[in-house]
Amino acid sequence: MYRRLLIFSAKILIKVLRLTGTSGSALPGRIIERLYPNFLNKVLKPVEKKIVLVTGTNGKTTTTKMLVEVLRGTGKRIITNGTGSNMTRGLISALVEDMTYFGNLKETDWFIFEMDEAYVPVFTEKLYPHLTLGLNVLRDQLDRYGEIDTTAKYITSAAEKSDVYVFNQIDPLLSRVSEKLPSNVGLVSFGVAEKLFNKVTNEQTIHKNEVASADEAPNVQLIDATDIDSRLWLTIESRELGDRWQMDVPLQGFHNAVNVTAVVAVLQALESVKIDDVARCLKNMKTPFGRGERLKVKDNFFTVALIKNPSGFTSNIRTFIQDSRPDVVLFVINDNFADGRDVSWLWDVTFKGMILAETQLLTSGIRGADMALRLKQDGLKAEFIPNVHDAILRLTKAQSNNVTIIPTYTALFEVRAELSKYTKVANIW
Amino acid sequence: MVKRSITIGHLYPKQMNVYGDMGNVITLQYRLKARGIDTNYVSLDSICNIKKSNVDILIGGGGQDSNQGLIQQDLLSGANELKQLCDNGLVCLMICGMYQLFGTKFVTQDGDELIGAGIIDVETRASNDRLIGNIVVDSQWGKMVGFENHSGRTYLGNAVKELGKVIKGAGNNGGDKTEGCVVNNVFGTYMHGPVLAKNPEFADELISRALVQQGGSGSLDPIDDSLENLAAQIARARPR
Repeated sequence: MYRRLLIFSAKILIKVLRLTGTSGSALPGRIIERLYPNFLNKVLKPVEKKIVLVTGTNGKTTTTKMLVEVLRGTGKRIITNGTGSNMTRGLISALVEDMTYFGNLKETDWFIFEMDEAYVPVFTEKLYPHLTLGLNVLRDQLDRYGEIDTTAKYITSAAEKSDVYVFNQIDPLLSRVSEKLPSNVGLVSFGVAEKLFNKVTNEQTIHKNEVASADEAPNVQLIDATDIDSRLWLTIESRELGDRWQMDVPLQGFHNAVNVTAVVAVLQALESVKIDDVARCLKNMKTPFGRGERLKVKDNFFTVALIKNPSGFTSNIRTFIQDSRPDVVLFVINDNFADGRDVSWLWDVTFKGMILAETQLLTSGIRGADMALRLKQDGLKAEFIPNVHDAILRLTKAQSNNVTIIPTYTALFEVRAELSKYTKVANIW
Repeated sequence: MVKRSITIGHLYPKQMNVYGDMGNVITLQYRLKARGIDTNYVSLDSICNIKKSNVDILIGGGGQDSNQGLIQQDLLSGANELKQLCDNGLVCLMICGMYQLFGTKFVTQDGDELIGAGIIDVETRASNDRLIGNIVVDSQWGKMVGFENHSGRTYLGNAVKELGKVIKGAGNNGGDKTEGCVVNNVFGTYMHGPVLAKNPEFADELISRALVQQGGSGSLDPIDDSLENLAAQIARARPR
């Protein structure tokens, strides 16, 4: 009864928050987390074999969104936390929102949860998911978690309790995780063809090491990826199904081509979807906010591409600066807790030779001076505009149809708030 | 006048290079170039290559625990030669993991003692909790700022001078308010950041000492450091 009352109140709260225009992602979750700490275990234990965990340091939100897009597009009922809110509170909110007012879960086919790496061991302490997807282990917020090896351990803790572990074969740490799992865990690997290795950015290639090479081809393999007109054209092959497919998705960048490959691998493991459905459902999906989304601001196009770590930064430079050749680039660097307090990682990224000399460079955010300094050391002149409001204002006056904004996580929210003064910005929640 | 030239040796760049430690090399290259001094960059996978590469400034970074194991044997095998170079004044900047490995020993939580290179008289003890956050240190080269992220607690030998006194943060061991060390021309520190990028005076100290080691003048033309100083000022004011 207590639980039902709590859920009822939380649902009302979500409604009220929505009406007042507040994005109600964290608050109801926070309340239930405090008053009913065992909520998730209680609610999810009976359906744990329908849980799919999407984890890794980069691409969780986009990959989760794609999985949900395809599964929903084929008539499956899905509950997801696809809002980047990927710890206890976000999960609770997603569940409560979907529940009946009596506190019951509706009949659901799959629970697709993107999950922060550090939270994975907590979540899987009592819950044994059906599938864990390991996307990558890149240098993300290391000051929070200590070391990359620790992150690999977190992912192991979920994989060993799953029926199936779907993993990125070219990521050495995730590959190593697959070797240590008990034999009852099914393995499905995804990867890229050898000729594409030079496009892979991972922790190893950034430090001039090799891409992990495996003895045999992965179960699902990316054969070809080309960026044309802000869309990715892909060829993906499945070893089991012995077939090759071509598809195009409204995403950019090689990292996203790998994410699509991961999606195909998961869907193959779930044995629930035909590849034609994947192509059909992804063709017209919307890009999650800030993940390379194009916004129209006063007749001009701004692209917003979130960065969290050196690998993601490098991918975004390739895709949204080197390839798209914007007239103006604004980097917004914050060092709040969710960004990672340490900004040292800006020095793990190379800018020299990646940006045309005529590109106008602006930096902003709490640590925008660090960013300007980093560019200066690579021979690029940038102007530091401390206030994000002023920086966005400058962009709107730039009279350019090709602008790229590269913010860190909390900076993305500031950028979004500023942009919403000029254009309609989709509600993230 | 003879054209001046500096060779930067980057020790174990594959294994010991986290949290932007590469930025120390980038900063030195930038500051040397700004003075019209030539730079060579040498990547050193083995300690035996330091001498034959005629390294003027040796840079080492932090690494995962698992990576420290990978390089330990190489480090120990060449430790005597390296010690000699350092005694003769080789300029070294060792960050975090390499700082620890340059010491005499590392005591694990089980009490096992791992031998270090013994270049500097410091020892490190393992600990459970990591010391993570922004750090500000009062030093001879101004109020230095960096970011520390280590679980080891390092203690300086009696004759070893600290790099500076901790104003904010934990430093060597979180207890005695010391951070880093200076022995002859060998500098050890827990500061990432990268430390040289936002502490230009300290970066120039390394360059000057290296030029003096070559038998030349250590004087450097001033360059515009307003952006460096602004970034440092902002960093110093940030919460832990």
